[in-house]
Amino acid sequence: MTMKPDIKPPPFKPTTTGTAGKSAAAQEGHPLYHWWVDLWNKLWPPEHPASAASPFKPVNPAKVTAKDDAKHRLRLVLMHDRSQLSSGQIESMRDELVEVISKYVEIDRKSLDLYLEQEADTIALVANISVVRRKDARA
Amino acid sequence: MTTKSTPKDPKNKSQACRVIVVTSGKGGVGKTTSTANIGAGLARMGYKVALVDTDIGLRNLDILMGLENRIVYNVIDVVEDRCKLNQALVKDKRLPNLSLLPAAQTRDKSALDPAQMKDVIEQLKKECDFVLVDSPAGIEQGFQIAVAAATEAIVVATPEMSSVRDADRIIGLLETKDHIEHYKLVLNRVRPDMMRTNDMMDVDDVIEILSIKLLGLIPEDKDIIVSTNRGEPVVLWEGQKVPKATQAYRNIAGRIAGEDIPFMDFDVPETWMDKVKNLLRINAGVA
Repeated sequence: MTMKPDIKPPPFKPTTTGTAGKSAAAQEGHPLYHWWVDLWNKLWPPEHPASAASPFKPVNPAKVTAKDDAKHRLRLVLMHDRSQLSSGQIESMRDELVEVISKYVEIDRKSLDLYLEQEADTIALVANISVVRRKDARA
Repeated sequence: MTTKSTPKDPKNKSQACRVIVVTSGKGGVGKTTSTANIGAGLARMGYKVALVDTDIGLRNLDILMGLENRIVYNVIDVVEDRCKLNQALVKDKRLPNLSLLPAAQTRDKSALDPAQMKDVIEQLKKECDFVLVDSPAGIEQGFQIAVAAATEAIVVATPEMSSVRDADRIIGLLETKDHIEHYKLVLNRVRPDMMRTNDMMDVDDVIEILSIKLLGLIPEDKDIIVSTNRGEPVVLWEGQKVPKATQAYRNIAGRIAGEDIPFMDFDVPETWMDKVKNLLRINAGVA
């Protein structure tokens, strides 16, 4: 019997990041999966070598798949391709927008958010600007 | 492997000839393979088909058809009046109603312009039911030459990001061509195993992203390499156990001819091991 180290690595926990667009059930994973995670942690505590690299270590089914990655990245790339706007052009458009809007309202320059969004058939150019106050509010 | 094909009686040329360009933007996704197989598939059904290679300087359609030793003249010779169109056409050794108009290998794409290509294809149209034009990769002069005379387009893509991106670009260009009446997608190198495990975009994903109609699915198949090596398009293979790609290309040819053929289901039945894996979602060998 070996001595247990004082500092234990945390027990294996499923990670559920990057699951946007998935159903709640998909995010939580199959019930059997949770049973498997619990059983795994009971059978092999985190410090056990089997826990480090084993083909049977539970892998969260709700993790973001290569397919989702591809779809997400491709959508972004195509949006820019289709709009024929480079990120440099979007940046300069952003700067010019700040100039124009600043004539009328005081805005937080850093908070101006400008991005492309894919809608059903068209691409939307979305600008999110938080206004500090009207320029003539004190006049 | 037997490659004896049994063409039906060549139909009398009745309706107008259809000119279809096969294009993709990205190279290496299967344009030439698809041109050879769809063309041979249509010829196998009895239609009179001419294949035109527009990849001037990098011709390959002749290799895939196994006709590389029969080429005497090429499309540039026709345009520059060194021969008649019929002299340049290479008759297929298997199907009498299939012929190939080869590209020039020693010239480059500037040797031809879209108007000249259109003239040549107009001549071909008089004698054929289908003219299939194999486009080179890219979106420059070669592409412009290939689409010049076409009224329909087949966009070939694989379910990979780079290929889908380039296909999207090509679709954008096809949209600007008023003479292209419609275009459809052939999704090549489909991997049902990887699609099932979510390691690859599936067919619906690609169709949705490109918002395009599907013409057919071709599974990834090592027999395609064998068929290229032998110069026998896989669509012409005959026998009890032909590859899935053979049937897939026959289906596409049938759909082009107007038949209503359902899309193939490539899903292999789940083994008991698959079932266990799916239940526990074990990523064997990766974790």
